[in-house]
Amino acid sequence: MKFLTRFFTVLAVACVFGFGLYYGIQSLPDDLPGISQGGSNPAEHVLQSAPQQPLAPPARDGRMDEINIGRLLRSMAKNLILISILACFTILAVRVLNKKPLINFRKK
Amino acid sequence: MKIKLNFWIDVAILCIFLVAMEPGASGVFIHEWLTTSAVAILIVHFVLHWEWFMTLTARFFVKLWHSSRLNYLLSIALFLGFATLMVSGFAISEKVLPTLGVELAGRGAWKRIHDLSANLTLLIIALHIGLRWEWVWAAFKKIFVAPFVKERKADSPVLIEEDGL
Repeated sequence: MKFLTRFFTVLAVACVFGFGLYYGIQSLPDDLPGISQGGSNPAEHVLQSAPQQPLAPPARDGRMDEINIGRLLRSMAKNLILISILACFTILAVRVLNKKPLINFRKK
Repeated sequence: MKIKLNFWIDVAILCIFLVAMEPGASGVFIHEWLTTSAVAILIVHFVLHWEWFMTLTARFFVKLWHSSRLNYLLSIALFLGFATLMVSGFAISEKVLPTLGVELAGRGAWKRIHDLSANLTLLIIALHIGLRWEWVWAAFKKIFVAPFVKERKADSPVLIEEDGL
């Protein structure tokens, strides 16, 4: 019961924040840069004002419905390495700030 | 038991996050449904740390300059980061919300917000792991190393007897 109460409290806080953020962004005026309905890319505005010409096939933007295991594993490895490097720097920074030895050679 | 549960929940969140970081490779369908189902796991993670969070909230200003305060602020940032990810993800949803019959008025900004919050959340996750590294390492040793050490200790009298023979 206590677990469920806490679960729904956290969910409610997330929902309040989410709705606030959603309606906050939606209520921003359209003329702000990067907010417009049709996309925020300046190239799209240039395309919209260009004379009508036959369109080239749409470029693949990487959002497909097929699973690409190789690409997925590469991306996971890349992000894991990035997280590891950042975590290592954080550990070193905490150890330096706490004046702990970076490597403890003493055996227990 | 709680250490094991916490550890495996953390591992699951990290794995889901890593898969979700490349929607082009996992496919939009898996990306959206996996991350939507991950909301429950994330909430369980926050609920399991409820006592810690409430204790620090009550004592936040008593000893302001302490490493746990940074961890506390990072946890809030992590919560807001994931919430922003979910909201912006729903706003640009192509599979989940249309399947549920919900259509949100999207804007161009949501894609940018989704990408930016994903990158910032990745950074915060790395800092969070770094700050909690001692716990992660202790849990890893308890789950993966301690059982083998216990087994070896349990086996050692037999080995000594055999050696004695």
